[in-house]
Amino acid sequence: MLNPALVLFVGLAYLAGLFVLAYFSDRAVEQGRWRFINSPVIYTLSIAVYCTAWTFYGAVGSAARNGLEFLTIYLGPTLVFIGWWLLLRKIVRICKSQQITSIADFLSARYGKSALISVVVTLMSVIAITPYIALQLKGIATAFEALVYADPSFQVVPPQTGIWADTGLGVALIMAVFVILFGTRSLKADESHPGVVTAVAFESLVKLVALMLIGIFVVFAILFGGLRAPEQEMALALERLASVQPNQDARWIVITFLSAAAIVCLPRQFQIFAVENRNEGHLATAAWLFPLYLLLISLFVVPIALAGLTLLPDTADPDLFVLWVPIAAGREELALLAFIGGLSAGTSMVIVSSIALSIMISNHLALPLLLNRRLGRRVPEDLSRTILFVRRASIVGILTLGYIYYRTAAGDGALASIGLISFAGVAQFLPALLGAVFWRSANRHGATAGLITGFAVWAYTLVLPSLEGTGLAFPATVEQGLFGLSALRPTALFGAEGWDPLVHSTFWSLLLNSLVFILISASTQTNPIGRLQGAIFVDIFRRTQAEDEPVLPRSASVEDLRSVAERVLGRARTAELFASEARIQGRGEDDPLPDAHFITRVERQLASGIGAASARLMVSRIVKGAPLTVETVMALVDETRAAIRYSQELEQKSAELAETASKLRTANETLQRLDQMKDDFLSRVSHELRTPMTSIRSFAELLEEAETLDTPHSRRFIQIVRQESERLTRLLDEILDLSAMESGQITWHMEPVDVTQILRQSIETMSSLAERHGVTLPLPPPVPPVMVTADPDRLKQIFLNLLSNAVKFADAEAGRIRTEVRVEGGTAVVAITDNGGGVSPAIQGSLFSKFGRDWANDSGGRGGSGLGLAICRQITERLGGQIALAETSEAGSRFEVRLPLRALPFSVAAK
Amino acid sequence: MESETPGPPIWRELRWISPLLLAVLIVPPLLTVFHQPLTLFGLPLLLIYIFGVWVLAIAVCALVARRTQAGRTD
Repeated sequence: MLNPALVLFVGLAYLAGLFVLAYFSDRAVEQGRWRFINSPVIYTLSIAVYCTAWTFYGAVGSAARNGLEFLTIYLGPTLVFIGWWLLLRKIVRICKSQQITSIADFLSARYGKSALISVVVTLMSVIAITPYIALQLKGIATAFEALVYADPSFQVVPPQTGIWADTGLGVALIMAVFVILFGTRSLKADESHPGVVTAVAFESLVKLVALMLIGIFVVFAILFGGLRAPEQEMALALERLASVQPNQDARWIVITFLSAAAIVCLPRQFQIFAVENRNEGHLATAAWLFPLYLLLISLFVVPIALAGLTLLPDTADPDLFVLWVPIAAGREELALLAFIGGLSAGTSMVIVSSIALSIMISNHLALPLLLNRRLGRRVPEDLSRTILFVRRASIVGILTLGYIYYRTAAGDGALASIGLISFAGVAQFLPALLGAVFWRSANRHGATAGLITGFAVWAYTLVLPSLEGTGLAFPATVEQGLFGLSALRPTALFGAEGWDPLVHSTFWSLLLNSLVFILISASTQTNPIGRLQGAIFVDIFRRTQAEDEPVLPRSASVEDLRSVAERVLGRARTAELFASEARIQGRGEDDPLPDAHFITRVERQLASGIGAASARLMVSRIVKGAPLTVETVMALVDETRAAIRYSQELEQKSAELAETASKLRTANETLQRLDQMKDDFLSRVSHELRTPMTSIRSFAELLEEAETLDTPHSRRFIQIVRQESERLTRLLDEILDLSAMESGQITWHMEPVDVTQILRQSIETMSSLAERHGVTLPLPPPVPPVMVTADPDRLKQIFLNLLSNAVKFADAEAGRIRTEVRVEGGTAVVAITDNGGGVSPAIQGSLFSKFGRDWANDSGGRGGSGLGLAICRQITERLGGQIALAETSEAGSRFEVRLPLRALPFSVAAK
Repeated sequence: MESETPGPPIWRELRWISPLLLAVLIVPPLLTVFHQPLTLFGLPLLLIYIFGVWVLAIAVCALVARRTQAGRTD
């Protein structure tokens, strides 16, 4: 096998070269050279830090063990990037506008700049990422041992003592120095590290090229070359590799989902795609270029695994096929290349992860303590040196933790399963993250509770069982459940027996996480800043760039602002910031006005160094804020919504107005119709009055001119004058009667009466008139008394009117009128039927209105006033009944009067 | 901001349709339909299917990004 010194030398030389590259690209960016660094390709390659030593070595191992399942690790991120428009773009835009420094900062800034959330997310990240960092140490250390100490039968036998005994420790130490040199050289304005990004992009290129070269070599030299295994063996191995494990559908979906979540939620991925993003447009390229990268890096996994399965002994560890296949083929330089590829994959992950975590630890754990008045008394005024020190210490701490985990828990176990534990852990951020950008009502209570719940369930159901045999495990709990309750067994929670552990843990932790998050968010209120930030995050695309985002009203002195800014940003950058603001405010060389917008700008600049929660804490000490009320924030947040509401109200008002207008129109039409009716009535009354008056006057004139008064002519004239006067009187009486009735001036003498009796009386009264017209008018058939409550005189008036009409309109030759009284339900019905020519359809509608009849044709001949039926209707309605023309034809007409029966007919009958 | 995206609407709609479609295509049960003991040019059908869908998704995404981002200054 290979010489350890050679492998070590190559590895160190590679890392040194990397450092030089990072150093020069930092310098170049500062001086504005090397513009290619600010390109979408570099951005995409840096995102490929996603592919770690796990990918580099573990994918082949996973393929050899579980078939195509390894592809899910790449398909999940592919999904997210193909759908970049939905989520990534929004997160990047928010990070830029809010100067976000990490995923913990993102969630804390969204949820009311809550310090608690940032602490929770930071701790969760450290715990979830530790196994992942351990995985890289293990990957690199194992690769080194596999190259140096493997015997010809591919069994690794590392020496038990001496300087080479603990490869992992060496790797961890080298990493720590490397990351500190790299990531904490200075405190940057926007927490971006162009040197690191360039180096990471370069490493991504190295690992891709290394894996592809080995892949191409394998395809041509082994699969189609001299080392090709017998056909049948090849076919068998290929069938095994290109398969989906039976009954693992759920696992396939879950891993795809987890890796999709990881590409957003992993602190290092968030750091690279959101915090280090220099141009939102780069995302559009990365959207397809990154999936292409993933496709290329997984393209040769199956061929390499195939070569490993057919070429290497069955006992060889599949996770090391990438290194051993070239060795088995006698190409040691390719094996060295494979080592460098794995090294680059591992180091880039460790560099970015520990930078991201150290930023989170210093901003969210250390700074709040340093800023605390009591604990932070000895902290120097210039915080930037302190912050750098804290970051370096955290990097050492993180790597130490990773190393401890590597020594205790990660000793055996495939690379993939360790990585998936981390994935499931960081996936707990997903509900809070999606809520942060899409759900305005999501608040910090819900987010905190959801995160803690999900994380606890994850730790209990996935981490605890994985610690088996390390001395940290609780075998009794794992076997029998918490408190001996079998429903609480970590691998079969609530009776979910026989599930794949990863599926089981992911299902329960994310389900409970989301449920708690949604329920608590929906049932609690948050503080004003939370609502303001919620609106800013969720509606980030609704605001146009020209428009200022809403700021809280508050004030501070310029001097206080300056001193706070200098503590974090240093003198030079503070002066720059103040001068730029003064220019914007148009104040030339003077200090800028410390208005609310400027305070927000300073706070954001501070946040870019120390995170939103800490920045808010520092600024809040010097700010004399107007008392922050819910109303103020509502006013800020809801400007747009208020405008929408207002316009909706206007719409509603105008609808109401339209309705009122239409009602008015209807009322107006009614009034006009009534007015018209009144005019008609008056004109008809005057016409009616004039007809008899004219004839009276003309006959009076004739009489005046006549020479003698006792001629038969004179007698006749006087008779006409009398008749016309009577008609006039009758008409006036009826008009008076009707108007008195309409205005309610008539006194009604209501009493129980027998309808039949009144009808009989009416018939008797009318019998002489009927006889004169030659009309038969018999009495109605005898019936028992039908009692109603009525004024007997008025009731009689109805019957007389109807009877006289019937007599008038009955058949001239053989006139006959029938009358009838009957009871229908609670109603007395009086029917009066004639055998006249019927009522013409033209006047049926207005029959019961005043002067409803056709005057021109009728009035003269039959001598009615035209008010009779109108009066009848008036009386009937006053008595609570109805009058109607029930039937009319050429054979006659029937009028019916319906009156309600008296309530107690028997007592009345008894009387 | 978001409005000035040239090209017919289908390109804009593809921005969310393509990830949804891809999500359906790359997981069971649709995926396992192609898990057949068939080979194409000596390669298993399932392998060809997954990589085929993958390449297609990348191509569509690249085209969509080109169409909808054209004319942007950044």
